[in-house]
Amino acid sequence: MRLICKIIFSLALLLGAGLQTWAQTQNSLYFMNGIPQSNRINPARNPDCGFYIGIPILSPLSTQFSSNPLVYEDIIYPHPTEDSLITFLHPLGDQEAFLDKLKPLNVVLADTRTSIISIGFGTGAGFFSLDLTTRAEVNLYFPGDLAKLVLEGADEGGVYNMDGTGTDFSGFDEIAVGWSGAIGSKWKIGVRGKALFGFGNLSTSRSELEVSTSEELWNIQADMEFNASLPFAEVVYDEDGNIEDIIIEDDVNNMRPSSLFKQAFNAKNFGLAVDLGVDFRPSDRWLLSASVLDIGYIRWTDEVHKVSFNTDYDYLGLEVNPLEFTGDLSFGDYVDSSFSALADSLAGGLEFTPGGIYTSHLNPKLYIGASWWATPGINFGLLSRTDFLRETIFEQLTASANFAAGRFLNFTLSYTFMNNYWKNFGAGISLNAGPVNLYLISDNTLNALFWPGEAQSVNLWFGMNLVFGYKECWKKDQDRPLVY
Amino acid sequence: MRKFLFYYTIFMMAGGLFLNSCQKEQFQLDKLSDEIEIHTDLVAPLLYGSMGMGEIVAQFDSSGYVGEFGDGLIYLTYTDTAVDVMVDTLNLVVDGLYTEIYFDTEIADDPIFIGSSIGDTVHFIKSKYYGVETRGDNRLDSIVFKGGELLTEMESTFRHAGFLTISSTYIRDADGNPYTYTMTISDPSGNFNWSESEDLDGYFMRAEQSGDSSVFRMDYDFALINSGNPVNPGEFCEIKSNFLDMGFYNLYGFVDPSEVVTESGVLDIPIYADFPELAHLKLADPRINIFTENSLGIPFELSLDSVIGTAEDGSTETLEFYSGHPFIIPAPSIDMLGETADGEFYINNQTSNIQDLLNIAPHTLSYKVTANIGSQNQSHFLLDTSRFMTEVEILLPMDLSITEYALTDTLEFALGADGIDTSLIKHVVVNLSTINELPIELGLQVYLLDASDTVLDSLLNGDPVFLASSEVDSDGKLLLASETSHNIDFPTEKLGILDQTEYLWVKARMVTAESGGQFVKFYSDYTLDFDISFYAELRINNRDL
Repeated sequence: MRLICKIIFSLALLLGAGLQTWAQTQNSLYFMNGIPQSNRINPARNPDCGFYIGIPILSPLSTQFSSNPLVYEDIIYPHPTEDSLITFLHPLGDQEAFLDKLKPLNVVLADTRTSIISIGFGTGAGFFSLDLTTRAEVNLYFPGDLAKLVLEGADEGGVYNMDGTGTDFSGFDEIAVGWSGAIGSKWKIGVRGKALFGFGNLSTSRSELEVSTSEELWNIQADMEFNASLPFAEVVYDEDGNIEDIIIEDDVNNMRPSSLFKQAFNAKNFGLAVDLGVDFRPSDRWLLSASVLDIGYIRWTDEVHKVSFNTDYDYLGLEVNPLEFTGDLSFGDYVDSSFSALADSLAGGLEFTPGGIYTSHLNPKLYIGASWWATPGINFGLLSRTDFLRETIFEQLTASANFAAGRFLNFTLSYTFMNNYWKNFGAGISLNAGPVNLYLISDNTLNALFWPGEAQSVNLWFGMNLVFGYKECWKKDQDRPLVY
Repeated sequence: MRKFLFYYTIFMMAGGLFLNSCQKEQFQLDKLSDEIEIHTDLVAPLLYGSMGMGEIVAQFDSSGYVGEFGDGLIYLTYTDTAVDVMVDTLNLVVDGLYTEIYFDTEIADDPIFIGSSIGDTVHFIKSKYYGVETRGDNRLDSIVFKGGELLTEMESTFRHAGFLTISSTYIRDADGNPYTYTMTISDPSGNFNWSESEDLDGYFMRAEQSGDSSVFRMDYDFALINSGNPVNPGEFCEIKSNFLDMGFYNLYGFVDPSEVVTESGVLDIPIYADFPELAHLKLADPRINIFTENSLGIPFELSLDSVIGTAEDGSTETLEFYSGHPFIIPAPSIDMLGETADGEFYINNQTSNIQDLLNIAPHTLSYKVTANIGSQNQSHFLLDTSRFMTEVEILLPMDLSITEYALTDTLEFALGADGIDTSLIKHVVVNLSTINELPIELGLQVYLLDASDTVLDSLLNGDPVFLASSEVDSDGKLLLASETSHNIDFPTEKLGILDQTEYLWVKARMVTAESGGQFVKFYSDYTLDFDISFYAELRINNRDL
């Protein structure tokens, strides 16, 4: 048990430290049949009957890493003449191409989630589900002008806009209770209510930063605010109000189960969220559906701290009195002193304070889909997905072809257009062998195989469930004349 | 159909894995080079500051030579005491009056004494005027002694007892009582000797004029008590009165000022010696101010004679007065006893040729100061605290011109052990921008020399005006500040030369506005603002670090 706790907590904190909400669910999953956890992407979906239980940790276990717009081969590529790899920072690297690729605001996103409990069962009143999931999500926003400033330098008359710079990290446990049911023969609706317990958060509340450079002055304007909730640590401030130390609690450090449980279900960082979904079947061949996920928030109250950085600073250089020149300092010393003075002045704009209560919102997602069945075993789907992030909105469009080879095999191929990138070919497979359901889905499977260097996103959704009562369900499906 | 789909899936996955195997080299991160190189430019302000004219001058003013007038005009000044006379150092009254009086034959022949009986007392009375000796034409009317003593010595060979009373209505004690002293001759053996010293401190002595002399009178009453012995020829009584160590609390009379003030000497003017470059200045309004403090009750006229400035090269200039000379030194009147009368006398362009004198940058100033009574009052007084002091202030307002002034210096230069990493720094341009309110134009060139003094390069191109003068009006005051900007270029080659440089040979030339053609004024609120910024092309390679 202790080992399991360690794994869960480590996954939540360590994997989560590099990881996000955006696209944490696979579009390919949306149209796959026979996946018990499909209600995570559309709460109206369910296996219709029977009972399933997910294998703890593995059902599902998903992870996601995305970068927009940078891809692997923007950063690392073969040496032009030697049998080695180089980065874009290598003397033979193409830094200009790297900078051209960058957008004003670039995003690196990652998330991971795993469920300890995932069960569902059908009743006459509908299908119910209960999930306990640990989620860790991180968004890192970095401006293109920051890279430009570092790589090309500060030019005369340069204006470097770095609005949006920051990072959002949330680690929380989610207890979700879902229900779905039919309304008449054409409508199915579903809802998942979620209670959220945060165990760590870093939020960028405001982020405006602009640097103007010239020989006469550097102007730095910043209005930034970051909030953090660190229930597992004690933040020690010095006399000047600066953070002196962050001490991880011994119980957490030593992975004491009681402490981890307390951290995992920390009622002081409580939130609520809801997922809603609807399926509408206007005819036997068509299925129209929509869902909205993660409409919710977490109110962070435990060990809350705030860092703000406000300045409108004109840096004119180091003020000196030439009559006091001693000749002991070199030009380089003055350059050092000058930039030290700049850093000191900017540091004056930093303020660390024990913060007040704040709220972070989950990143809502909207799915709108349509499916058309060519045969009972083959259907084609079109899905629009919109992610509402703090600084931007991401839109994706996915087309999929879904195959069902009896109950034994469900297979899907998908194509997604996102981030102005066309080569997103995904696939998913679900196998049912007796009561064992095993599935593996990725929106980027094929481009990760064929064009790994170009992949902007890598995601993987794995699940293992035990499904009971499936025979009755299967039989019921087979008895119907045309079920698509 | 189901089998087809199954095998199709297996085929696709296997194919993908096969294709992926072709890509794997791109992911062999063990072959990833860690070399990083960034070519970046950097432009940034580096230093800025402002120098006030007052600060600049003060930098060279470790001895307090700098001041400013109310309107901010800066001046250089040097003050020294030329004359300082305390009256108690004067030896106005001759130290010592020695007088003798004898009683001899007049006693032996005195019929009264001859006819007297044994035991009778016979008085012999004499008076004598003593002249008070003073220097020169000095005259003493009265004096209150400070210290001093009256030493009276007596020798009597008369074989009679008796007594001697010495008195003077010219000398009185502090209560106004006339001086009197009686001494008893107790020994009738004919060998009587006696002496007595009496403190004169506080005694007042009045003198009266007798011809050219100041005299006072002493009275002697010599009384003998007839012992029956005869008075033989040769027997005598000798009385000596000695006034010794006489000082005074106050003194009235006439004091010859030349006895009080006669000074000559040579004043060093260290400001010119300390800063030889000041010799290149032409001063518009140099001034010498003389301040006197006089508590002597002696008004007099002070003459500055033979004031001659001598430059470092030996050339001289004599001070000539147009007006206001000699200086009438004010003195306290009799009703201002103990007070001080101040006097101020100005030697400037209006009163003299001082501009000519100081524009030779004199290192020394010889002078002779003499005092004369002239037409002044001749009834004087002196107190023991009386003092006469003269301070000379040389005042040089910074209203000047510099027609040409060149400075050259060689400075040691070393970049340090690390030198300049020209693999890191490819090109540097340092920009110096100035806003100059000072009416000075500065030309500057810095040559880079190696260890054998060979010129390797110069810092600036050509012979530039490094700092342009501000514009001034006809009165020499600021009209418009000048703005100058210089880019000092250090391409890679010159950065390499800096590494070899051992010395900097600095050549500077300086002229005031209008090429020194007019006088310009320097006010303390004039500033020289500067901004130094740089542009650098850097090549940062982690393997070179």
